[in-house]
Amino acid sequence: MRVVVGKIIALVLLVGLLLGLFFKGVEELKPQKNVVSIPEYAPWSEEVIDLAASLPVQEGGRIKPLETRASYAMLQMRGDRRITIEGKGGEKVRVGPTAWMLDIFFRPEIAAELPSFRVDNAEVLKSLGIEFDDRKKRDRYSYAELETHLPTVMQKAGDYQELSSRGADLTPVEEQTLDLATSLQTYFYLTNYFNFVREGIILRAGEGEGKKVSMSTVLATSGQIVDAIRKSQESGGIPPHINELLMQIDQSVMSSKFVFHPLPPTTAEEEKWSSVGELIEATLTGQIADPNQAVRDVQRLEELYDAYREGEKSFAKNLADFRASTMTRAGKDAERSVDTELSFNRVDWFRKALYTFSFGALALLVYLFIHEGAVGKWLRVALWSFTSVGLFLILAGIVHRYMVVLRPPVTNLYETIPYITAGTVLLFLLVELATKNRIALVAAPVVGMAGMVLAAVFQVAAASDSLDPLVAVLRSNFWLTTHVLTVTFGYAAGLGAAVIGFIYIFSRVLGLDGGDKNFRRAITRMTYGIICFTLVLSLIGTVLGGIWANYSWGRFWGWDPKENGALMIVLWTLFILHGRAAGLLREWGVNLAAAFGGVVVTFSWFHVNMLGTGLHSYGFTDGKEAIWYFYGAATFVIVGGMAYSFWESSQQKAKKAAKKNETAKVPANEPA
Amino acid sequence: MENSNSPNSRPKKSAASNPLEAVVKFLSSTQLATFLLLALFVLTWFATLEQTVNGLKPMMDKYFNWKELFFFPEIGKPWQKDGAMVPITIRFPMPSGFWLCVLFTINLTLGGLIRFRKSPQKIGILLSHFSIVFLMVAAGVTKFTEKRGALQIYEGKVSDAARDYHAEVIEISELADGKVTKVHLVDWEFLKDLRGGGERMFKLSNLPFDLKVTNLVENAQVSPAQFVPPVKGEKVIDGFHLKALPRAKETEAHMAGVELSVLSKGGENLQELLLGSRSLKPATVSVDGRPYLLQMRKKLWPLPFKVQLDDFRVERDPGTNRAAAYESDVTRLDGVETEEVLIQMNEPMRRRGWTFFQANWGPQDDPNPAEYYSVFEVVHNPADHWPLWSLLISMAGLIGHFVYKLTLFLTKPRKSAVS
Repeated sequence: MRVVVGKIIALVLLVGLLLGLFFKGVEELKPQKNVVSIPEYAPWSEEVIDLAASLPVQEGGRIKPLETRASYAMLQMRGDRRITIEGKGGEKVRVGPTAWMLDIFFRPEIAAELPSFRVDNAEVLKSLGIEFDDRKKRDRYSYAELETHLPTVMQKAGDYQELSSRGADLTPVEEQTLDLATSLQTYFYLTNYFNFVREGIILRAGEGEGKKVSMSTVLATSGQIVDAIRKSQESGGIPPHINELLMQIDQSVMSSKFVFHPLPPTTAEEEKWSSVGELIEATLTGQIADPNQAVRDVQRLEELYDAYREGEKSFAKNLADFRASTMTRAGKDAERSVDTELSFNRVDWFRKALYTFSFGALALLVYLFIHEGAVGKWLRVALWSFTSVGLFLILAGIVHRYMVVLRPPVTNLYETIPYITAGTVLLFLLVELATKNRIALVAAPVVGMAGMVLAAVFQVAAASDSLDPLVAVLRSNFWLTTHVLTVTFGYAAGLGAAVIGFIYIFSRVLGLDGGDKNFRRAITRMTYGIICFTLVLSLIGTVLGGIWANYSWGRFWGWDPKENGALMIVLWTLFILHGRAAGLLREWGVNLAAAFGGVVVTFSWFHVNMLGTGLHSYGFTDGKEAIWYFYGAATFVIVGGMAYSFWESSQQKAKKAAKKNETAKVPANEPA
Repeated sequence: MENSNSPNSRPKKSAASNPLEAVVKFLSSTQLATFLLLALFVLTWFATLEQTVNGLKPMMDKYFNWKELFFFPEIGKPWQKDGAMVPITIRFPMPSGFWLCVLFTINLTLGGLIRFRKSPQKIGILLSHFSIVFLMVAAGVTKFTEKRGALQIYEGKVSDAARDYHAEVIEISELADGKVTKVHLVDWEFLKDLRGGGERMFKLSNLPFDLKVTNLVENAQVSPAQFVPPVKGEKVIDGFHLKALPRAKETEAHMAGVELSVLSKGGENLQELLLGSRSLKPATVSVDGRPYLLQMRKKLWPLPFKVQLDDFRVERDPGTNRAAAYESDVTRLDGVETEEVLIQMNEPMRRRGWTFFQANWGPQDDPNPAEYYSVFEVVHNPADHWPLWSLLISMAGLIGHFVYKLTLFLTKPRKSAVS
């Protein structure tokens, strides 16, 4: 009876966990609430979106496809990579990052209606004196709704920025106000980028309407403009019509100078790509080697905009020409990395891995009921297959990422997630190969799924390009491939041991093992083996990190939180191994301690980065509360397991005592 | 790592015949090792959390103070809704990290090396134990002998001293014809415990006066009482007082100040002074008709050679202000011997026991400054490479033992599969 109840509870928990993970990981499959109706919205053709997505731009210190640029901009502003709206005739239209960026550039009035800004706490807006009666605490807003409040948001954000620069700790509402201001500012620059085409330059010789000319036309006469300014300065002042011209140019420069750099340098020595505003400014101030090329570049973007006005076909053709000419100038390396990144985005290895592990988890659910006979055998094959394919997909994704940027695969917190997931899954498969007791096999797809969900959630929460260049100290392929890979594989092993530890606790508490001592011993041996492996990797990884620090910062050990985290894993595993050797930790103790090792690894892997101190602080704070839920749940299970083990032990003692008493009552001459 | 490895798992002899044997047995026990590892684990956890509240250096001073056996950790209150850092004291006495490490090294030496049962199968563990003992010794050597400071130098300039990050000194300069002829120093070792109103007399045998330091404020500003009135009854001397500034988490930014009296050899109070590291000018004292300059400043570590910064280069990620790489061309001037060296990230210069690491540079907010300066972390540590040797030993030991155990496990026949 107890086994049946235990199995039902375990099944409910497992199904709940798997469903929770699945829906968290595939948020984009969920239908969106509060769909905005924009009847005049006309979707872009596939051809235009594909061509625009592949345009190379420079941002964050590297060359990337526009699709990536748009994707992270959308994540930062909206916390999502799609917007579903009701278009013409109530038809549902899904707007992806590239389409969204095209809207912002070319159809600013329509783009302003899209709910592009996520505000997590309505208090942010309330503190700015902005109130919407029909909105929830966390909701999305359009640029049109927030535009009128832009000066207020910017002023408050400026105040908070100053507070922060003086070392004050900002409250979450203040932090979110800063984030909102940054998003609004980025959007403002993007949506006004093509103002230099839309508005052109109005040339006025005297009173009257004046003549509208293109920016490139004005720029082509930059030499004459500069001469005119110099002469008029010599003769007592700049005349009003030149002043007005300069003001118009200045406005165009300001709106097209930031956040979008699509124009490669003209010489091989230069690396920096330009925005239109930078080219205009550099041309007029004489700080450019080839002003004629600058004029041609501005003209190319004007032609692109004109082509958009002419219609989709013309726009598509011009986009293709623009891409081809940009790539020719950018060079083979840029073309290779953009194309590789585009294919990486298209394949979406980690998403596919998530789906594969989900199928594996589904097979697992069935396997829990039918694990004997031919069906059981086939389910085991399915478990092996889905898990192995999932692992292959993660590894392929890691290799593909490497091919995009040509640097070691684990350089930031995001990249550790697929790597650690792959490490744990690989470890489980190896353990399964060695033990063939199917414990690691059933855990592997769940771990793979959880890891891939974490990767998806983290990417949304961090909303920053994880392929951007490294800081100076990290630019060492030797140390990145030795220290980082070793220590993070140690995390993977530590988490693996914790998972097996939790399996032991649940098996014992819910009676799933049916009292099978072989099963218990097998699990404990597995836990012990993985802990040994964790120790080897963590110790070597930690000391390697110390030696790297000794080369970089001049000290082996600096009590930096990340270093401490790695040391904590080493100390904890040593504690378990020595506790077992001393007879202080037995079956229960080893597994409970291994499960707690999961908390230690989580602290070391994630939490130390949120402490806001030390050399490894990545400033990641979104979703901070999730870690507390994990700690809470883990502690609950571990404390529950401890309580159960004490209860079980006292029961056994009582039974033994009773048996002893009964034996004592039997007279010596009677058979017992 | 297994029961059989433990010294306690040997066949039990009769109870320890003498107290010394009992002590050795206790100090070498695996039980003690387990406790120490747990205690070090908890200590490391608290050390990580406490530095977010009090900063790294104060945490280190508190956790590894060899003069105290216990301390109370202070951490940030978790889960503050408004994100504020609220410190809370854990009312649990934690053993001092210094003594835990000493005890751990003794335990490891006795139990993990000397009394450890030696056999070819356990050579891996033995090597690992030895490497950790070696690492702990390296840590001890570093703690007590390391010299560390920063050397900031502009292009074309020469320097031969590094400035300590924390330690300060009182510098007394003898003057003759307006020029400094001799310099005497009162070291930080004798000043640091005067924080919070301590008092110490310094008998200066080579000078015609003595000094009595009556108070030391770790982060202070000599302030005019007229405009910044004392709030905690600070002593006002010549219209000025030592204003305590808020404690910074990065204590490298601290600049100390002291209240002191210049005494005649007979003990007569000749003059009272305030010295502050932030003050730009030294104080002048006249004793027996001879002038002396007194000032407080960060301690300098003299180097055995001079260093000239020939050129500094920074490479930024295109389109950003972020440094992708930075490096310095320096010339080492050692008497008549000169040597040109490139110092860059992960590639320090090591010469005559001193190591120069590329640490920082400036000015960083100007993309094209007229001249750059480079900052080197300068370290003298006899145990510099010991961790590397320790790693090699432990790696050999652990991997060897792990492979041995794995082979045993894989070749051992299994009892029964579990479904």
